[in-house]
Amino acid sequence: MDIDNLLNKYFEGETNIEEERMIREFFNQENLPEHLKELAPLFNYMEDERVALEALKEIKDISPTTRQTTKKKLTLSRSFFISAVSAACITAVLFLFSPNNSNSGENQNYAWINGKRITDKDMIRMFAEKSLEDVSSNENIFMEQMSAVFDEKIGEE
Amino acid sequence: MDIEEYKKIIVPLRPQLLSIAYRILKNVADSEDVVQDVCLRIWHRREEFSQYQNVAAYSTTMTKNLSIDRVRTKRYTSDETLLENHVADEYTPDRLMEEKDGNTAIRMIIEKLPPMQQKVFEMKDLHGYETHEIAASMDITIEAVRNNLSRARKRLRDLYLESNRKKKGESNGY
Repeated sequence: MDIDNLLNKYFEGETNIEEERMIREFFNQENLPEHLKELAPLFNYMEDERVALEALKEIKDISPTTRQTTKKKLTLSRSFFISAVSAACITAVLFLFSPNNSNSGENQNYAWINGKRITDKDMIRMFAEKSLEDVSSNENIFMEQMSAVFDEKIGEE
Repeated sequence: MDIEEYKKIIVPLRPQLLSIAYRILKNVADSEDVVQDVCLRIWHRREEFSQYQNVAAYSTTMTKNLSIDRVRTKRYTSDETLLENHVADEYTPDRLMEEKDGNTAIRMIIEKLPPMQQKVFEMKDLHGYETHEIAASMDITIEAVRNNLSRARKRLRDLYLESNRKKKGESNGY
């Protein structure tokens, strides 16, 4: 590999993804030619950021969207809330104790989050904890709204 | 902090940051951009955070500041021609030299590239898109992608090397 030619091509904007990967790999080694040492932090920065961007994309793909995370005030009725939690519990119980599920030979350490199949146990645990926090905060909002309504009525009287 | 530890910090933090950004920006795409930017800054400064454990406080403040900055920048660059040619408050090598951390200096240069160059550079070198994909996504020619990419890469290289040499010169005592 002629790194100087490849770098010239890179700075002219003419390299493809594979050539750019080769350049980043080249700069990731310790014994760099003296005249190229100064450029190493630039390419290492890019490689570093790519790793983080991939992780963020993975998290974004399995996270709720902004609109979903924005709390919807005054729209959540208590009966809807109780029905949703009950339905989720029943589904979970049916799923856990279904004969097909317990007898299958497949790896059962996964969950479906926003349509994605997640196998990382830690990631699943984090999302579960976050969901429970949301449930608790939604309940708080409901109670706040109820007390606000009753306070208003008392004020009117 | 390795990438797995980083993910564990970001997963619970991200929804809170999105809410903060959305309250200021009232726009989902802009909020996502700001939060991604904040998360990247956390990653680049990960050594400091493993020491001080103050990621949440830092990221909340940073999300508010970047969201407000974005509102201001949007007002300023609403003109399309301006968007293509504008170089916002460019950093000089002397200003960059003051940055002790090399990564921060690189990020500062990228952020101050003209918007078109910055977008092309980020899509190619950070997100890994091919030139023709960028051209299609931005509705510009392949030649325009190459020109903007070339200018961005050369600008980044030249400013970084110049500030680096000045820094070394200063530390050598001349």
